[in-house]
Amino acid sequence: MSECLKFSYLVEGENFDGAGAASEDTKARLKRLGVSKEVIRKVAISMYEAEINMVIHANGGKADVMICPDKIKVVMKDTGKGIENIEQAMQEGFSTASEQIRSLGFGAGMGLPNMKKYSDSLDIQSQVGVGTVVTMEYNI
Amino acid sequence: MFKSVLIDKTICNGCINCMKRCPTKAIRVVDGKAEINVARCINCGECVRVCQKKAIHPNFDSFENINKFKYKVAVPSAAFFGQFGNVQDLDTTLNSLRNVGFDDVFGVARGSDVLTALTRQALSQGKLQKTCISSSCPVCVELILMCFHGLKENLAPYIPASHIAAKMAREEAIKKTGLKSEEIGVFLISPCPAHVAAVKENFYQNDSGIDGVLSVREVGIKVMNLRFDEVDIKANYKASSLGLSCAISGGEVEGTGLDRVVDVDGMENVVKFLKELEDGKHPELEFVELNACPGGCVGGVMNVENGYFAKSTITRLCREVMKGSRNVTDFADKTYDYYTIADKWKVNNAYYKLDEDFAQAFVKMRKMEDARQQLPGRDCGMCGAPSCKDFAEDIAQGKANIQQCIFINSDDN
Repeated sequence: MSECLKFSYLVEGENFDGAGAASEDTKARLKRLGVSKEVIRKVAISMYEAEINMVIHANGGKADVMICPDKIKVVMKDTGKGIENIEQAMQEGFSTASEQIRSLGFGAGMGLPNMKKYSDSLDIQSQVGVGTVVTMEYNI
Repeated sequence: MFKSVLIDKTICNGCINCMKRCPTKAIRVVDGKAEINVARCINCGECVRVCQKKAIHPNFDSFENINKFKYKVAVPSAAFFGQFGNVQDLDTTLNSLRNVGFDDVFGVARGSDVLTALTRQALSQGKLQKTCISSSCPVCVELILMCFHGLKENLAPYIPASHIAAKMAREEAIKKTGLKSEEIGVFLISPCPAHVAAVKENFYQNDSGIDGVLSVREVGIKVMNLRFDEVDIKANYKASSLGLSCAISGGEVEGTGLDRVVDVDGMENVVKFLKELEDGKHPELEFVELNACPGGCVGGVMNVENGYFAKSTITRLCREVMKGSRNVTDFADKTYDYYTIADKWKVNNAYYKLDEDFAQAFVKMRKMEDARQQLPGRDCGMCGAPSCKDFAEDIAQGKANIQQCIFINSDDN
């Protein structure tokens, strides 16, 4: 779709201080466009979760954001270790994060459930040892 | 729209300090002089603070205005009492205002006591949205309405303590003198350019009858020229130590009597904290006090004394009040709308929205992106905008030309 705006972000792995920069920038852009605050909240929360996941589990990756007149599409792609059992990962409270990461306040097992809850469609493609692609869509 | 700060263009040398500092990117340097976009200005006074040339001044009412009234009432902010470190007691400072031309005095701290009682009661009854954000600092309220729309509902509905005090002062003066309301002039003595603007623009949507806002600095210098042993003590200081401590960041929080509270001071800290709050962090907080100025109102740009020294003076005076027998407070005995804004808080779209029309905003964002791709990202400010990002926005809005970028211009040569 040519009338859509596209933005790409590189998400650094293991950088907990900088984590959230892509979702924050996206949030600012949506505010500038005048998108409703309900939609902004959904995008900000779910994209932040996906971003944090890439930082914690996949040593970073790439975030592509496409803003179209009627919808927003966020694709988060990494070449990390992949998810063994997606169904299990979707359960609230399930996490494979280390103690050290939990001590930083992450890894509560709410990432994927929140991504589902705060998006209008969620698709996860993952292959162990190859990587994960998370696609989230939102209606404006 | 009221201009809370004025730039003296004969002194401004076009350096970019104020432009870089402005939290809402309201300043541009045009033809070598700083200019303020009033629609985006939240009256914080950071530009006044940072200007090396002293070319930017807060805009407040002239002291002479008090002479238009038969009976003149001074309503000094609590910060006023922090300006005179050598004066040992509150009564002297309070009554010194009679010696510079006022007939009566009524401290803002009395309004703070009332506001504290109101807030405490509403919080305990669950009548305020959690996390409740104090509406006392007009800069922080404007900042939320401009940049943090998601927190609008969290703002307390109250008018600030100074406005409550002004209303009470007028009623007291009418009762005391029997004069008509229009014969009585009620003047705030404030350290804050945003409080001046708030009165001029009726920002708090409640007619508090304030006839003018004077600066703590101007009045304070008059007071400093007095001989304090000649000050005649006619009125006693009436307010609690909590009311007085509202001049310092943390004073309001203390008054709530709650555990899950936080006070944040300084513009950058406030911005950072509001970001976190809007993102849903700290959901356990019950009450948040925000102060745009470092240390609270004692750090306001219309004060005389160093903010940290003023804080120390206020703290000492608070201990004196606590020791004495007159740690009394007024009651919040009026109806709800006496103390609250008439309507809901309204968001201001001057900062974020590129255009009221979604399709137009889309076109502008694309233009902005195109410009941003070409700009060097050095944020040097030489184009007259605070960063390449802001410059790109100015280009998209048709307010600037990409040739103003010195890097792009030199490439062409």
